[in-house]
Amino acid sequence: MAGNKGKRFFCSRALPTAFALSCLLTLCLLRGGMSADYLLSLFSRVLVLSVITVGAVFIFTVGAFGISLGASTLLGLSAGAAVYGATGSIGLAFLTCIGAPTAACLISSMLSTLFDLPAYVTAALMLGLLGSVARVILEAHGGEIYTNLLGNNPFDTVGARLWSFVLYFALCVIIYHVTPVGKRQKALGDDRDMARLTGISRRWYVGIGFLMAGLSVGLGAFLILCSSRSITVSSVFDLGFNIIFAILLGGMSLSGGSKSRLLSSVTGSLSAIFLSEILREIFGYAPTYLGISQGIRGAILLIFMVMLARNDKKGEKNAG
Amino acid sequence: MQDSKNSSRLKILGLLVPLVTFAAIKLILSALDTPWLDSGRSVLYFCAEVTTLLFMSVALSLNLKCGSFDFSLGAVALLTPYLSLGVFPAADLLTLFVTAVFFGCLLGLISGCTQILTRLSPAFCSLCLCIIYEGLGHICSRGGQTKYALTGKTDDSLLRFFILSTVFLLVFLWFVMKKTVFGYNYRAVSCNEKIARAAGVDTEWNKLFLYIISGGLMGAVGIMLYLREGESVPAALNFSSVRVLFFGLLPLFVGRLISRSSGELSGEVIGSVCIAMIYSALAQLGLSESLRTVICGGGLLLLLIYISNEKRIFKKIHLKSPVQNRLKKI
Repeated sequence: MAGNKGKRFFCSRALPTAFALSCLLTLCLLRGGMSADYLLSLFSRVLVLSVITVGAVFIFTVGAFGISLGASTLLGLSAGAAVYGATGSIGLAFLTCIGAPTAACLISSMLSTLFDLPAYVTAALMLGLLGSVARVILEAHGGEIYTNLLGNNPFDTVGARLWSFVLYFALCVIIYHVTPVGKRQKALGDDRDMARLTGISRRWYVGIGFLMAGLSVGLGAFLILCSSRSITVSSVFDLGFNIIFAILLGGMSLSGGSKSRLLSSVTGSLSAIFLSEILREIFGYAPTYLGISQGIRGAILLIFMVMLARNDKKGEKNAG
Repeated sequence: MQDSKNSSRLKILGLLVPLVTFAAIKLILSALDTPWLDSGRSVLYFCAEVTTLLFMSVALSLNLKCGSFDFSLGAVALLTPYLSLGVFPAADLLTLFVTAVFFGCLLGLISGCTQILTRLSPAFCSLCLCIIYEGLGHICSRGGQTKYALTGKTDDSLLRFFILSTVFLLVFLWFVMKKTVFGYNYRAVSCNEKIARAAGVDTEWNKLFLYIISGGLMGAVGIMLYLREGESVPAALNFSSVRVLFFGLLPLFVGRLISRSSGELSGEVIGSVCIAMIYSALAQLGLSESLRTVICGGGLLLLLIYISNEKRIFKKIHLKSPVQNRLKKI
């Protein structure tokens, strides 16, 4: 029993952390050391990804499926950029960046809880729909919206991103661990029927999960907007993939439930960004670098998922 | 006697749907002074759309009925043209079709074996495979630098190809679903997997064949997209290939609705014809692809909400739903 508990700890906590550290070490070795500027830019990217994935943890905890978060970010980004371009107000852009993805996530939540739509079909539908709405907004501006916010606003600093992440993470910790929300979401992820019989409202807690995901996506979109010169379709090109990659590389359980952890978003984001940079160092010269990088990351993700799934099953078997 | 009369009436009703759709679209576009299906080229494009949607909706339907959704099917459709055109760049239509189906079946076999061996949930496993196949597609297209343009194929030969492919698909499906053990097992599994397994159906082999057939169908979709567009469709990355599946969902669910009255296979054919008409009409209006996707996505959303909540809706308006009526007769 103690041995199995050790294996579960290894798979869900020690392995993701060790993977992140080994990626960092490998990156240092490949680059022959890292300058302060480079480290700061990496850290900045990790912060933005962590802000988005920490909200995604809420969705995965209740056993829902969130592959449309990348499309939601693009929607928030394009809507926010359009509003900024029209009004010049960063406050209004912030509200739009937060509002658009939050509304999209709440619609996804309603579709799965209120209207009982099949989860995966809804995920594919929202992925296509949200991406297309964002494209329509961008096409209305000729395919590109110029913001010129890079270096021209107080939110385009590592400090601002760090504070955004710390404050938002603290809010998530309070909601997840201090209030009953986290416990009830974990109960829903563990056993939906048991949760219903104990009086936990699936609609309410899945709704909260998607609301938190929407807020985190919106905040991430705003931080990306503040460091952009212009927004196009390829502005958050690989974000959707990186979100799933970070969540699962961070040791998040596939089925959600009581094994879910907020910190998996941070460790996973570190691994995702470092691995992306390692692959760029090795294959960046090749015209097919993006395809090779994606293929390798997909294979790593598959291996991780098999290990996590086996870990989950062994835990259930021993608990039973 | 009354039942067979009702059944015939429902079948006629099902056949009226495409006629009514055609009439409505023709009326609207005539009012807007927009031509539609008035040239050989537009008829060819329409036939291509019908065939592509039919293949796609059948592939998706096979998976959904067994309770799984394969995210990698879109990536298979985008990868197979590069594989088959890479092997036979100047081949005739039949060779291209056969090699694309072969590569599609091979990718389906890999997907099936991966899912069975890893025992991961089909959705998560297909997500990883989607990422890997997209990466392979990007590599095969040399980062988008390789493009295959369609040359030496006349409109008549393409029209014949699309019509014959549709006929082949219908005959193939009828044979596989009605005359083979796989078809029998598939129907059992789609009703209830646990009971089918308890009754002795080998669900693992059934799943594997399902993946192979779906992969083959999407391989055919890939080559049809190439023939329809006149050049190879750019390889997608970062789940963009899931958008390919998006276009197959609307005819799938429309077909399901229609198949209540007209039978499963004919429902999917009618659904594909109706949706192809709507897609081509929207394209004729000059709407961008993104706007067409938004309109169709909105329509699909409303349709899904209706299908999933039909009983509740009819209960609220104090009517018996068509589903309840049929159940009562049984």
